[in-house]
Amino acid sequence: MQCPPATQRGQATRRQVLLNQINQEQDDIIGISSPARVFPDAQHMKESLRVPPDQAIDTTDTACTNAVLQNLEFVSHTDRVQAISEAHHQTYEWIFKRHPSQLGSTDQLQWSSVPEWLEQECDNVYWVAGKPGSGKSTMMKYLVRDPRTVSCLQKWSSARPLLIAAFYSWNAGVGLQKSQEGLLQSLLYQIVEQAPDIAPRLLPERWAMLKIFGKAALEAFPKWKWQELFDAITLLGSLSIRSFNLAIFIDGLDEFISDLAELIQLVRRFHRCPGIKVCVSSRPWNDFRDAFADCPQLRMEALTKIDMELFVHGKLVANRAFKELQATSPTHATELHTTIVEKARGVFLWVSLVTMAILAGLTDGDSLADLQAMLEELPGDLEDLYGSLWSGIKPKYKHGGACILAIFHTFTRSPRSRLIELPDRLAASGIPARILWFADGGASTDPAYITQTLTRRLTSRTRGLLEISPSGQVDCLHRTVNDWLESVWSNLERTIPEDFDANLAVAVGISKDLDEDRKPYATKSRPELWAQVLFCFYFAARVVDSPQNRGPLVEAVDKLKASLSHRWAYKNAGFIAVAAEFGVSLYVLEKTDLDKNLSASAIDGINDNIISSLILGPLKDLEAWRAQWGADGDNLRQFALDREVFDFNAPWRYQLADTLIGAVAKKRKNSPTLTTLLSRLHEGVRHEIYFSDRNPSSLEIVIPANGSRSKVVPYRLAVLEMLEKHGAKVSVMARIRKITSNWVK
Amino acid sequence: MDPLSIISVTAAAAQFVDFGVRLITKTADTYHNAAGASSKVAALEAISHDLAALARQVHEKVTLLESGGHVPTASERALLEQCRRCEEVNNEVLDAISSMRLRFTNDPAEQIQAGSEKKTEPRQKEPPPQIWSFMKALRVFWNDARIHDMELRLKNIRSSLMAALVADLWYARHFLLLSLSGPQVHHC
Repeated sequence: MQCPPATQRGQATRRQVLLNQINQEQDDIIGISSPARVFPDAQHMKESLRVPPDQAIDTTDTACTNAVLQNLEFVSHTDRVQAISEAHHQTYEWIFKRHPSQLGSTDQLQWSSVPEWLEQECDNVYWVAGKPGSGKSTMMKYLVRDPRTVSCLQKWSSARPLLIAAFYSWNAGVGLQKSQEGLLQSLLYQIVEQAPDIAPRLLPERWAMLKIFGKAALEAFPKWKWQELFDAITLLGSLSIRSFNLAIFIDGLDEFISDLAELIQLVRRFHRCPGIKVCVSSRPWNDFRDAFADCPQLRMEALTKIDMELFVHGKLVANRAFKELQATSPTHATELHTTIVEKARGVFLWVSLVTMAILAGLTDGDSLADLQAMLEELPGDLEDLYGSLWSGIKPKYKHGGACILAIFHTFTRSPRSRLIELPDRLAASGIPARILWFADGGASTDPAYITQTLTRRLTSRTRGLLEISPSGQVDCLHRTVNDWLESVWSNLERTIPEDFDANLAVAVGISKDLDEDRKPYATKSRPELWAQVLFCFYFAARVVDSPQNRGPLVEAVDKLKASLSHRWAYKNAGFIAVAAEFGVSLYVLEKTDLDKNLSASAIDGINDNIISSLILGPLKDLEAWRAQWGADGDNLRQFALDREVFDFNAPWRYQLADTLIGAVAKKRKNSPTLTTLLSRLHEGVRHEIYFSDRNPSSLEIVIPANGSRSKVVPYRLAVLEMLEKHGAKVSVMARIRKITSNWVK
Repeated sequence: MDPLSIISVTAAAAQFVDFGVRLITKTADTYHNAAGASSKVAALEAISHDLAALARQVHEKVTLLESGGHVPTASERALLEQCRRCEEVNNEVLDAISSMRLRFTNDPAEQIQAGSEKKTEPRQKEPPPQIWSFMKALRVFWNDARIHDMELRLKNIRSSLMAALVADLWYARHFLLLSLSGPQVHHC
């Protein structure tokens, strides 16, 4: 938080007063709005003032607690944990063993007893270290959920109630899934959920607001900021207000995008509080190694050998073809088994992918020798393994696989990730399964069928590198897959069929998803709807102009328009104008016929005309958006202001505006409407009214000047010049200023 | 000003607003369960008593705050402004109530049982023959537009109160920040 220190101090005291009051006489402040307190003598008031639960004051604490929870929740906060694979049957049993001799392999153990750490008061955090893909997340999830963990921890907390909170960070995910803010917010959520009484003490301001205004206060709440979350957590640390012990599990410290030193500091701060203990997991990076050197710890890859054997055995034995082979040559079968585990060198993910490949081979009728040969060829390194799995995809699926990866890549690399707080599935990491399905040419709209078929397609065409989560998102199997995809993308891109345009596919997918969605139920909120529309425009603007693309693109955008039509009334140019703002060139060209039907839409209407849209770019009515939708509007606005969105197709917008103005001027000689429009635009652009916070100053466009030479001009100046050329009236003062500046030059 | 006084004045005003909104939007009223004009009069009496009490509550808190001799901040000024608006509403509604009372007491058709009847009878035993509500009665004196306007005014006061309290509790003393980035308030 960037407040001057004085203010921070000021705020701290205000907060302190509020807190003191809450601590001493909770009723006085909390019951402040209860009518019976205000008029203790007027008993009838109590009756008559009984408020229906849906409006105004909630006098019960549960209602307030629920509101706080609703306020703390963010959509992606359970996504990650759902996506982490469950531990295979009987694996990770060793985590609850108390003595190294019980662990089977005793060579070079780096291991401290977990149950002992759980049971006792311990000065240090517990550190689970492990290579990428060694199964840290799966193990953490297993540990957090196992009843034995609870019973161990209960010994530690003895008479005090025990709370457990866990956070699984996800680097390939969206903002809150990998930020300290997200961590704190999620922890607070879990704490309040388990110990509702503490809510007023941790979040006194929000609590007071809820007490006074009821749920209506939710809409007035400011966004969560680091300082408030941090203060709340700090308060939690002070023992006087807390009657419970808290165990925190944080998975994947290396997945956070924040400064590692700060993050480690935060973890230590948690752990230092009496009655709080923290268990973390991460890759064995130097920062963590240095920080946690003296902590009780374990190394995953040194301990999971038995688990891997169990896993491979379990998977293979369940396969009929393997059992047949095993019956004929048992030694080879065992050999195959051990080779997998040996070669994995502690990387569980490798084992699971290779086992999948072997099962696929078995289905195709490979012999044990074939499988052994394949196994020997597969690289031991994870990223190389992805490459080799990719090249091993059957030729008939290769194109399909490349298309799926291209759709995924195109969608997830858009600036969408900046819309972190949009309350919908578009903000979650990965791509919504339905959008991928439609983008990939799927026709069925039955959710169960989509999930089933898509799962199969992903297995055969991407070898499981992409997978579909229970919440209906398609995402990378593992962070390392994401990294791999990024590093080999330029090569992969070449395998995409030439006639395939991923931007077109995504635009079609989004528009179809929206179209299908509207039929049975139109439940989307407006910002959500608009987010989808903006994304669709974003991709549609990037479609390459070719004869075979044009038809489907126009169809997709028209479909988008149709699905919006009953929720949004367009004036004048309306939809075409919005498409023009975002530079959806193919569509706008198709719909504005320059020769004959040059309608009023080009210039009429105060704001809704194509020419203003072209010149001003995305969301020309920014303020209106913000006013209408508050925080959500802000979010969409941010998206539209993104350089990537704003700058894109700007030269094209400029060109078309130029041509269009020329055409209108020719058709309607000396039209006052046109002159007024141009003058107004000129005035606005010159005073930077329109571009106030979009700052296109760094944007330059190339203007073909007379003759063969062309010049590079800042966008704003180019627009001004063009407007003047077409007869915008320029005020005398502006003209003088221009002459002076030229003269100075 | 300390946050507690701020909160208590906001709470008082919010209570007034909630009461007012319910009074003019609810078609069935708990104030009036028994039949007869006298109880309508009694109901009006009770309503005006409660409303006045709530308004007095606001007024007292404001006086207390203003007596401190401290220069109010922007958010505090915004809060006090809303309290003043509450007072205006109070006066208008009380005016309407006194005209209604006059009408009820003078109209012989409305007068079945004279005298002040306290609400001591058990309520459930006698279901009302027809549902009376303050809002319906008010319609005789105020047209729909005025009632609607009053509702909007009250809701507007509520959102302004929220905005001012947020400003005070979160961004206290950031005058500039306040006026620029006050939270967006949605009207229901």
